[in-house]
Amino acid sequence: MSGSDKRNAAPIDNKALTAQRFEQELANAPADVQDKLRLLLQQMALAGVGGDADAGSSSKVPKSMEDHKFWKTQPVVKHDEVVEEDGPIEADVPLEKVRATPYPLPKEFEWTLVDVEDDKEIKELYELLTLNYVEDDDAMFRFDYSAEFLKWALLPPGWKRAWHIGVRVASNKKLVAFISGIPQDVRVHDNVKRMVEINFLCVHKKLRSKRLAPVLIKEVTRRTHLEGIFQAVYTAGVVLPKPVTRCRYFHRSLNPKKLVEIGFSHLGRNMTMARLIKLYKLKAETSTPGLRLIEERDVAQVKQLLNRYLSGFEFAPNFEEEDVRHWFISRPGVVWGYVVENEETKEITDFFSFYSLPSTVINNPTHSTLNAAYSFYYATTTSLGAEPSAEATQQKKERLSALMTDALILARQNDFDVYNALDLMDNALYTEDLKFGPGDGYLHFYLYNWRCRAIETDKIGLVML
Amino acid sequence: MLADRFKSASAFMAANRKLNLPSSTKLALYADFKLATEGPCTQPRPSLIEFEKSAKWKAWKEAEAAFLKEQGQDPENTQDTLSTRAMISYIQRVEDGQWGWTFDPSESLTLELSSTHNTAFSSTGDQDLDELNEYLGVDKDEISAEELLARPYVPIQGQEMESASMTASGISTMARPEEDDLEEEDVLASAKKGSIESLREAIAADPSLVSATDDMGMTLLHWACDRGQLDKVKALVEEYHADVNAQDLEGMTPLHYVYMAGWPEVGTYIKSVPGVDLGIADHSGMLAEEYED
Repeated sequence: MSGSDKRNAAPIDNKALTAQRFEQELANAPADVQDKLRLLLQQMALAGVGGDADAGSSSKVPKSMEDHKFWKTQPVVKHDEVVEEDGPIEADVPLEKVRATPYPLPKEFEWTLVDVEDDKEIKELYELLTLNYVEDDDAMFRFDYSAEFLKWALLPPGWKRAWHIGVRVASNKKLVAFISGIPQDVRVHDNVKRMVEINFLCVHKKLRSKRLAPVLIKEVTRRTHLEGIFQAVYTAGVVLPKPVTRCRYFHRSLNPKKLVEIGFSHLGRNMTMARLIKLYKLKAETSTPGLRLIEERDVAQVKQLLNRYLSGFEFAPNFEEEDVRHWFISRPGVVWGYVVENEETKEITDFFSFYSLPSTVINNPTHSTLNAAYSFYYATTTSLGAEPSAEATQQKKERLSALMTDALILARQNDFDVYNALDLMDNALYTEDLKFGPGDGYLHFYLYNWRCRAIETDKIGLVML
Repeated sequence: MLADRFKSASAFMAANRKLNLPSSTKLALYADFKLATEGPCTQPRPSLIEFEKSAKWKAWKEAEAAFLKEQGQDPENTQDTLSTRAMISYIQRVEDGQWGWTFDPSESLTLELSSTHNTAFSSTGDQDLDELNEYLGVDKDEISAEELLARPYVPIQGQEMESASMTASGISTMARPEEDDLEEEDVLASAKKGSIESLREAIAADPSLVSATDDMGMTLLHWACDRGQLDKVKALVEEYHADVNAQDLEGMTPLHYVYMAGWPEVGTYIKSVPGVDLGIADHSGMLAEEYED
């Protein structure tokens, strides 16, 4: 990271604190005023107008001129644009008008398809991502994707080899850049579209001056056009034109002592390690009757339950049975999926899942890995389809709190140090009671070639890896 | 392209032998040049009285060993040959020395070709491609990908915001509690949580701190035990005679903190202190050892 960024670090922290104080003041205002102010604040944040727009170290203020120049040419909502009505920005391109050959790369580079099923090639991808898929250079942690995780992420039902796009140095064949897409039906407000989820865009950090990213984005767009798909969804820590919403990370300590030792969390004034450990202590065993790992025989019921639950959100995927099978049946070290079965009726009443994405701890004498579990999809029949009421919300809150407490216990049993969740779906109902603390990271949701009215974080029902 | 830069740099140095360089610099350049052009040194060791030859031979050998060691430590660069790394090292020395060498791309044919390739773009009839070309513009970057990859990584200002790792989100960590901002750096606070030096300084200034308690009834020894700082624990017990059985407002002794926070080494030490009472229960009726996980 550059010198000037480092100098800015302290003021940014102060801004975050100011925002926090503001939140406290806000809590004393009447409810309707609170809601309006929150919405206003969020809009200001998204527009990048002061406020807490750049609170948090990983929510960086946008765009060098270079970035801006590229995004100006792309079908995305402009920063100063207010969307009144949803719809495409550009019309679909007829197949015969789609460019037939790959975009030319700067000489000395060549296109490649990364064979994710091949052990040698997935190792190359794993190494590229592990060493280069980071936002800034003075980070204390570095994502440590496993080969099994990447296979899970990149080979879901309907995956396409043509969308695992790599770039190699022509002379020595070293893999130096990557972008991927996976197909997914996504509903935004009332429109269901076949979209592509773009992920793992990564350029070797020593080659960032070669400006490969725009070519990768153009090329993956061309290849999705060839498949008759014209919309994409992606998430990023950085602010680009223009976020649909901005979610904040929340963290639940499972191994508080280790988290303090590696600098992930901090002991506040007058907080002792002893009290911290006591505060985060969990029961040894889960308590929800009928809780068990999801099995093949549950797939149809889970699909139905999950889609019904997700219908309550404004931005959510639609799952088929094969998707449920792929994403939620447990894979050792990668993903854990659980259901609650009513012991009398045999009905599946609840479902939750989490995945593992560890990070390497840089320069720590005692610890080398941070084992992080990330909250994935979940659903409950409690209050499902009920008329909105304080009572229905309360019941859902209690049920989710019980389920997620068990998720925390299971994560702890599997040696995770921390359980992470964004403030999307119904997570805000239980995070405070379950002692999640706010993180310093944010995640922005984006749509490519789709105008979309702003969406509150608790109406987002899509979780991306 | 790397080879062109290397040739240009070495030609420059050959033409400027009159540069009054320290012999260590000359030897380093010599060693890089030999490794780049001839590879590992296979010549027999010269007689010790041939001073210059000996020094050169040694420099060559040592540079080779250094490169091999470096190569072994950097998983990124296993593919680079010795000569590539030596060329890069040579070029960097010449650049860093600032003896007046600049690389003139017209010196080489390959570069002429590449510069015509890049100088201008004309409409291709493909709007998308034109837009992309316009964005990419003229490639001013004369350093090849291969060379960039072999060089040590240096973040370049302004480039990290390239959308290069666009879909990456930083690894979020717990936001700092607001109260941290207000924390005054008082003597007691640094003695509680800081290094052994700050502890000694604080006690030297005010010896009564050893038995003082804070608003939770905790002594400095409680705090050192909570944080597992064995050096401070030992100093407090042995040099300053802190009370090892002191109870805070919840009735907890330093040993309670040791067990709750999980510091076995400190626990072993405290239990060996003469006069320690293992039978003290806190206000919830728990003995220290009952907190062992």
